[in-house]
Amino acid sequence: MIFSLIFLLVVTEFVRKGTLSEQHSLFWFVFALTMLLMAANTRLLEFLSRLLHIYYAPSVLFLFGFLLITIYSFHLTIIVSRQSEKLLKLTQEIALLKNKIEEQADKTVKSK
Amino acid sequence: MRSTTLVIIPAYNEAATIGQVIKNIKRWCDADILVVNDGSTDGTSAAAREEKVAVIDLPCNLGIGGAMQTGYRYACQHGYEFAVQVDADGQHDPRFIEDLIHPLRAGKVDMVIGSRYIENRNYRGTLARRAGSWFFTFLLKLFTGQAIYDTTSGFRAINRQVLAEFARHYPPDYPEVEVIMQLLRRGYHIKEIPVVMYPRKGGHSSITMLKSVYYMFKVSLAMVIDCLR
Repeated sequence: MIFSLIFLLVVTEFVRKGTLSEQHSLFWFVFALTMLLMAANTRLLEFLSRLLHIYYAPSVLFLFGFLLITIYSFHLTIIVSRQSEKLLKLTQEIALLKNKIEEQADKTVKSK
Repeated sequence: MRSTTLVIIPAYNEAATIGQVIKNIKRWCDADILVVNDGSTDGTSAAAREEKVAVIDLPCNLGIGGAMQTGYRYACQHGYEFAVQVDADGQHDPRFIEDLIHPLRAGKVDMVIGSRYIENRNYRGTLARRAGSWFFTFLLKLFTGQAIYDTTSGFRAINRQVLAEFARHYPPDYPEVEVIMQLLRRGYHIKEIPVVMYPRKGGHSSITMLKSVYYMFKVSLAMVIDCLR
């Protein structure tokens, strides 16, 4: 519970500084708040563990956290793949444009 | 007058050999030459410019696939009929460039690969290398029903249709085998001709033991996925 609280503060601080974009912070806010709620409210946790047939109630917390983080890291690798694709195209485009400018410069020098 | 053929040389830190490679190419054919400098940290770009050929400097290292695709896009934009890939380390003998382009001119095939293994010339390489090569030949045969023997050869020539295809899609790392698969499955024709290759004259091979394991897995996976497309 203490961890969730500190974590919430850390996320807020990073968003305030601008290191973490609002768009991506949304996930972490929801994550931190849910963890906080579940850690603080033992009866909710016990209810959930009975629902899922889990004997040890706090392991619901671990299961939940683990699943969410797995899904989110998968989402992030998709973003990374997409971005490296864009970066590749951008780098090529810049190099080709630079070459075109050089060619143009050569031509004007020769024609003078 | 401008040639209809562009020789593309991808180069990453090859300052020691690039000048000689360009001189050799000029001696054996009159094609235009383009050096794609893949973010080298040595004098590769300057050494190439000294030989009065076109040079494209990539602002950061993209890897062989990204660099070659830059060259192919350049060739497309400038309207070349044929493009030939030649390595910057002196492994490829430019005497064979004309032999590579000849079948393309006849119009029967779309890509010509300079092969070390047919006609049993003196290139052998290590056992692991030949085993890997054999494995890719087997996979290609399995998936496409066609036998290509030197699947990892980077000494290859393509025509305008394939140029357009590569400008759109070219794998960023370890492209050689994947590309053969991509073309065969889309109905292009590939031919192999025998060439002689030399051990590299300078620089270092980028393939280490661990990397070759990754290479095998990555390329095999890419081939399976290409089948699912």
